[in-house]
Amino acid sequence: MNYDGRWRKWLIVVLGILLLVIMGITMGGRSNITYVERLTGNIITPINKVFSSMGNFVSGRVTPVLEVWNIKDENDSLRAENESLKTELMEYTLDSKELAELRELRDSLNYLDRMRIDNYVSCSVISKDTGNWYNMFLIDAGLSDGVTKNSTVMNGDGLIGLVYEAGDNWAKVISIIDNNSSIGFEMRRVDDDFDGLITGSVNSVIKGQLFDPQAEVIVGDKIMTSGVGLYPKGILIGEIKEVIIDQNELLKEVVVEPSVNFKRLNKILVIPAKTNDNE
Amino acid sequence: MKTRYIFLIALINFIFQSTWLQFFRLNGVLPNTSLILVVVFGALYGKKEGLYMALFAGVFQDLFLSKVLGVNLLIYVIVAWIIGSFEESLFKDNFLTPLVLTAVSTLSYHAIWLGIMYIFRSSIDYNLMTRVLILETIINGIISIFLYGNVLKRIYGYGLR
Repeated sequence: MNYDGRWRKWLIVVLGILLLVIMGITMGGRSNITYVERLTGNIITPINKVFSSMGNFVSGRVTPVLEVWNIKDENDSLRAENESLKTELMEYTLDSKELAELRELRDSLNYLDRMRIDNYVSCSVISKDTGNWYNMFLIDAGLSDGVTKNSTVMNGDGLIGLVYEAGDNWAKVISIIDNNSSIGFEMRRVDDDFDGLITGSVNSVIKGQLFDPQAEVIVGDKIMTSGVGLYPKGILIGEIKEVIIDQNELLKEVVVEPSVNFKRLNKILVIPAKTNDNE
Repeated sequence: MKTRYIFLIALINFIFQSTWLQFFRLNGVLPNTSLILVVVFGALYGKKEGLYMALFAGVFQDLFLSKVLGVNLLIYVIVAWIIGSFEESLFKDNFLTPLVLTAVSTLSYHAIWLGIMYIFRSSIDYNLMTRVLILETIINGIISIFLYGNVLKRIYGYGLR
């Protein structure tokens, strides 16, 4: 072995260790990304945007043809859902009148309006993770649109995840199933208000615990964010798939199936993270 | 091969892999074309080209779609380095060469990946593991045979046997 070869070997080892250090530092996402990343992102994301919109266009034309056999079933189930929604709507119109009266009362008492979210940023997914383990993706909105780290990402189906890192006009999003941070949730049924915490874990399901071991939870219950933690209140998370009672009867565990299909994301909404001057 | 061409190929591959290829997920599994490119370049063009491809492909994936910086870069560089080291002693026209190289690279990619994610205590879907490993290894192997055969014909003038 000559001198040159040995030198190179050590260089590789040092670079490997350096990379491991970089990995450690960048784990969990950073609030500010480096200038190089920002620059390359600004160049590449527009290209990605063109390609993904072309792909979506073609897919939007081709998928209905391929799924023509399922349309009848889907139609039937939608009709049934429509019926039940109509009856629900009747009840809610009555409730909303009452709510309006209560809101007036609240305004007169000068309560803070925490629930209303009116600064949505609507954007689309421009590229998706190239690996097979995580569901990370890029969106075409960034710091210039007010999207910062830890902003909430959702779509019509429910909660998707968090902004992991943000660039000028693009941002990296991590889904709730991959993130280690907890989400505070509550049941969507009106007559109970049991709270709990869930954390993304394995098998594209989310696991969590209820604070109250006596809480009555049924498989099939819908849950939504409670406003505790990073996520705003009232976003649908998913459906309870399994209730596990701990042997010590100390905690009731739930397994939640997200209502969002993470493999088919296109248009999404971002709710910018609360800044300090808003509070 | 000129470095700027390698850069361009890596860039185009990244864009395709993250946009159009997403529509062709088989059972949720996406073939890792970056890894295939690294293997093919390392085995056919040589160590230097393989390492450049590893560098560009790894950096693109890490910057934009990775949970931590440097994971893909590290794995690709290791793969390119090892394949490039015994590039001269490979039977280049045997169809088993790309198949075995890609299969072993895919498996070691996931082994290193899982190791690193375990070190950083990141949540990993272990139930996905067998599905991802088997399916991705097969898909990668099949794609690599076609790509390898074409590149082989370009450089040496004869195809796979």
